[in-house]
Amino acid sequence: MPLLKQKNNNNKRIKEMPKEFFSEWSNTWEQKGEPTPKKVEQPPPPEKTEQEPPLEKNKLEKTPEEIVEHFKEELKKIEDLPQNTEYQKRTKAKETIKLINGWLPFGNLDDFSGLQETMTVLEELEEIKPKKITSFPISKLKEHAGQRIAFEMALQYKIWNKDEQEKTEIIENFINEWLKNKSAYYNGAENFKRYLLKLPKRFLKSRWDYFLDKKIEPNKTWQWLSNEISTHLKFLGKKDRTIAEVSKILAMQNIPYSNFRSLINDIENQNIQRATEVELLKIEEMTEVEQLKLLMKAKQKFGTLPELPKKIEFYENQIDVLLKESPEKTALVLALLESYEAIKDKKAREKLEELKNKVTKIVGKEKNIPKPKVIQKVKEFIKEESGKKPLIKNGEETFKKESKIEEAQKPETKKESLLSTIGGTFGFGLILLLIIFLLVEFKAIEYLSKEQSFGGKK
Amino acid sequence: MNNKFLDLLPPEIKKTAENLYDLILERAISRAYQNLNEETKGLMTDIFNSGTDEEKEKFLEVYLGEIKQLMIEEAKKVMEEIKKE
Repeated sequence: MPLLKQKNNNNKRIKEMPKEFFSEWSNTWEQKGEPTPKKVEQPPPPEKTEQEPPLEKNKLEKTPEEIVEHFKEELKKIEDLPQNTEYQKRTKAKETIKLINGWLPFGNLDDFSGLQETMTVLEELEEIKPKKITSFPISKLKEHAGQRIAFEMALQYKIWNKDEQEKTEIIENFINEWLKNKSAYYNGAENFKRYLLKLPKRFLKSRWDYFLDKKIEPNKTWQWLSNEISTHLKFLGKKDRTIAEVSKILAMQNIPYSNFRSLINDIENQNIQRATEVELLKIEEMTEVEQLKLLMKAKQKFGTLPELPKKIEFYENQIDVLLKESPEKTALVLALLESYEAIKDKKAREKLEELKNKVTKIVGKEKNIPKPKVIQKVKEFIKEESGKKPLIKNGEETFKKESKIEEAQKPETKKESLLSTIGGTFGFGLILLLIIFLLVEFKAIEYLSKEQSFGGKK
Repeated sequence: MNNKFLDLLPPEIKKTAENLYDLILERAISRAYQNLNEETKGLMTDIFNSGTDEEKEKFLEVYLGEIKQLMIEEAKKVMEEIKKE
């Protein structure tokens, strides 16, 4: 009997339950048709945006201002890159180095101020903490970049449009700032030296001395030792060696010793200073041709060649310099180096052959055109006479450089004559530049290694 | 042209450089010659047939002072011709 009652109770409970509980059931029972499929909302069709016209390829920058502006824009983009993780720091540093590589050949256009800004980017990356042993070696990159900029300043000394004193000051200030004051290696060596000089105080002081507050100075031996260790540690940095090479490069370009004397005095390592002075005396005694060849080697070793397509503008700039009637031998040296490099490659040789054949065709056609005989005579006269130097000693042409005393005693010479410029630096420079333009046009120089590895080697 | 400069060039380029220099110089002189009047042309012929080196040099400096500019223009023309070949 109680079971029946329970059953009845259960029924009551079911009835009391809210209808919502049975709503699904009730719907299925009530609907006779098939359940309607749920409407899946389709995503709205993508809005048709007008396609932007494809960006034009980088036009060749012709003016120096445009070249500088281009590099400054690149620098801004790099400055905006994030630098929170190690990977980001590494990427930013590598991009900065690429920019420096591209900017170096044109540094003189803005007095190397843009390149100094790139160094501040590297400095900011270096100062980010915490520094770990596994951190990307930005200090080393910064040191290396500073050295390369200093070398380029020296190599572009002649074509740099500024007073000689100002140029030397800029070079000196740059080296002192980036290879001394802000150099991790130089400052590290100095800090280590200070640490060593404090050591005796910590180890040799007795308790009684502490009580009496007695000052203990390191003896002479300890001072000498800390100096020597610091000097050797500074070899990890590049300051003294950079100054030595920069002064040699300036001497190769016939710049008077008095103009960069202060730079040599900044060399702290006495051995390097003495060796540099000996080298400078040797360079001073060389002939012009020997100095030129040495300068070419220095350019190959320390300089940076511009990448395409900026090469054409670079050489157009050089033509302007040549037209100013001053024998800018560095421009010729740069042009020479381009031609030397072009010829080493096999494909470049083929292109050069092609160029040679075309030149001989045109020259052959020109010979068939009748011209007055006087033109031929004028041409031969110019070729013969223009090769002669104004000073002829003992009937022989010499390229020997006069000593400073002889130069001072010499009476004021006239301006270089028309003949000597046509057959001299102007004529030679013009032809070289023409050949290089043509090599570029025939893409012979394209076969050079375009992007140089960090270190300037090809 | 001064041979010492040409000697600095590699041999592959030296001959081409010499040919180009001859071509450009000849064309520049022809253009300068065409710009002269008949009297000056006659004077030029006399000087370069029988004059001294000093007279020749003086003549060039007086009447062919723009030769450098002409050489640059001819160089550009030669460049265009070579490209078209």
